[in-house]
Amino acid sequence: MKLFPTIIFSASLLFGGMAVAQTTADSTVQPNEAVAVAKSIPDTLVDLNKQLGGIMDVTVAKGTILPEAIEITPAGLIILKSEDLLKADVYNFEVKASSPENEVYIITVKIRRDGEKLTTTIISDKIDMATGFRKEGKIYVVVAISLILFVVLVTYLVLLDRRIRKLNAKLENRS
Amino acid sequence: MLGILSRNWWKVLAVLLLLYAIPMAWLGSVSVQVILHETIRNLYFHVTMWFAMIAVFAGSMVYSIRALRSGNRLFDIKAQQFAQTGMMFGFIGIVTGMIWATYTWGEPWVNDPKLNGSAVSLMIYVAYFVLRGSIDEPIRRMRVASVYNIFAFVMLILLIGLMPRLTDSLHPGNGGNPGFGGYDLKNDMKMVFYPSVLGWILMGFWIAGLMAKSKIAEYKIEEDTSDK
Repeated sequence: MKLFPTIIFSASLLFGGMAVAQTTADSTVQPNEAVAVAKSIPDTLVDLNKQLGGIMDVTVAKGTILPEAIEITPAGLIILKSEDLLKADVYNFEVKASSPENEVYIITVKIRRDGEKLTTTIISDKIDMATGFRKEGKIYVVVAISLILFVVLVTYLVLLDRRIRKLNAKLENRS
Repeated sequence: MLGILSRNWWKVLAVLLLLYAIPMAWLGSVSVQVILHETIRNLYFHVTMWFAMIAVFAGSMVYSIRALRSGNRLFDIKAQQFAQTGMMFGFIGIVTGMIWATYTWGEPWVNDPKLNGSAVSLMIYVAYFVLRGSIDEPIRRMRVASVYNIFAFVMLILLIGLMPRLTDSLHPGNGGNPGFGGYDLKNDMKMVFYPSVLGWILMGFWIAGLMAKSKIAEYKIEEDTSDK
């Protein structure tokens, strides 16, 4: 388990983004477009790829609900769509990602708003599979033993089958 | 030789399927799941036992219907032996399931509708054997047991096929709580799972058939001695 340092984003960055959105909204007539502009300048909270290195296929983990304000890209960017949507002070959710070696990570993301500061914490946890065991080739020991067991039992089944068939044939002929 | 093969091709198929499925159960790639980890491979062993059980019980019911229609006692013997083999698969299923549950759900017996349903349906089959034992007259025993066997199979389907789907269950594909995350089995896994299901079903029929044939031999000998 790796614990990564807390990443702190200054509120001024967020407010700066808001200000840009605000000015664009003023210059246009339709309010709908203003929303679109605000969305087009998302704030990246965390770049998982940069933090964890070589992460792909990032998706929301099963059984977790992604907050309305947050968006996740498959490349590992966790994006704040709009600060207005952040209603609660603390958000927790999990994302699933995989490494090029097919190892799967569950990453717990915690976003906390403390006054004007927005703190994002990530904890990544690897799902333990017997990758090393397989790489060493020891799995073939298990394969060999279970195959021997199966083959011997089937041989016995065949012999038993023949014996019972002969027995029934004998009984048939006698009567 | 060819004659033997033409009657027993399905036994050869069963062995070939399992000779492929058993190594692949260990070697194939699997979905990576949070709690399950590598134990997801139990799918190829634990779940296939239930499929084999249902198939063998279905065979038992078919023989019971044939016994009722023809009045031939040999069909009744086959029905009984198939039910016995089905029980064996059911008990393997329960025991392997309990071991798996201990390490994933935290305890061997959680109050899961599928667990309770399978236990109740096995009890129904236990009652089938008790019922047989309580009637001495063979023809009457055949009639009563055959009718009960049809009822038992219907109850089995209701209890392990239908009931868990109506309520929440920890088992995948039931209620709103699928253990495999919406049954997201990888295609690689299906390529191993389906052959091993078919393989174990055929093995079940093979074993049940052997049980039946040996019992029929015993029956013939008893008939001979009672004639004299």
